[in-house]
Amino acid sequence: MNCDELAALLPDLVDGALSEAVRAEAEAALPRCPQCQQELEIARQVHALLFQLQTEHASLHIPAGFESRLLAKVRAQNSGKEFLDLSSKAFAEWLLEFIELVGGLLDPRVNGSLSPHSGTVS
Amino acid sequence: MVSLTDEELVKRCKAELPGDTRSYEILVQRYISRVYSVVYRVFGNKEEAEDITQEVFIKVYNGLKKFEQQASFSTWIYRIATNCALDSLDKMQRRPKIQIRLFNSKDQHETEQNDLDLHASMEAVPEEMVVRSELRECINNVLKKLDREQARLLLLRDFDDRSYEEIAKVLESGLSAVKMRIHRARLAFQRLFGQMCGSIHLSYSASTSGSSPKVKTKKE
Repeated sequence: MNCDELAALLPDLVDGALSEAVRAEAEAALPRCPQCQQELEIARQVHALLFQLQTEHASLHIPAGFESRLLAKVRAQNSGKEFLDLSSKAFAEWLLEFIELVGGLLDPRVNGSLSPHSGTVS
Repeated sequence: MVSLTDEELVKRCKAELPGDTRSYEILVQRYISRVYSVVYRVFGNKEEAEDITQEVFIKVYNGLKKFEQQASFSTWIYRIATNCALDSLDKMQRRPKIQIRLFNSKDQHETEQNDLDLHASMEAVPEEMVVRSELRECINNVLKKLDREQARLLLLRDFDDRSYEEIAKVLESGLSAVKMRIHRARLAFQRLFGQMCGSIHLSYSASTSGSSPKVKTKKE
């Protein structure tokens, strides 16, 4: 086994995923490839370090009722959006009515009493 | 309906949302444990894991209509989950430190407050828990500095113990390529860890049959 072949097996060596025969062959080739040997040691350390931190959570389950809480939150967000949409629509309608009303009040043809000249005309 | 594939459920969601959420709820049911698990292993506490898992599924809900299905749903959701987890690590540093309960191993009552995340085993003494929490913080700082794709691979393989085959499947990548990318990610992690935290020193306890190393860090 040459260095390139050995390098390709390093991830499986870290995880112990090789058959006994291949593992033995790879380990026998390690002393001939110092780069592979060094990388294997580093990768094993990192894997062990990160994995060790997780061993306390080996049988992790989602908390009771979490799925319902999550769906409730999604629904709340969804209905919040609808409410916002409705509010914006209602507000736009109200604004249009208000503009018409104000426009009507300022327009002398609609309400003659607001005209500065209304008294003189009559 | 539960037997439908992810792709069929996504199609239904596109047609049904927001009025009908039944297909979306099946996708939630199918993926909630997987998302929660990977997120929990970054933060190590229930509250953060719940918040971020919710954030992930809200993003999925909001993005489903635009999701083109060029990648599989599982690829997409793992990408969102790992991004949310890694983004939250950044935000956490800008927030005041979170106070998490620290349990005394003898009476298991809350005895004092610590400013780090501590959910250690019952057997661990408080000093060990502090070391463990510092280690977690250091590891998370390294994760933030790592290339995002490398961090994602380490989250899936070494944090969440997903097999190479499963990772290749969810990332829609070749198995050999995924193995080598994970290998390079571990080397990159070690370089950054060395710069930021010290060297990794593993000592094997005789009582643990050599398979479960005690991890210590040694500042250089």
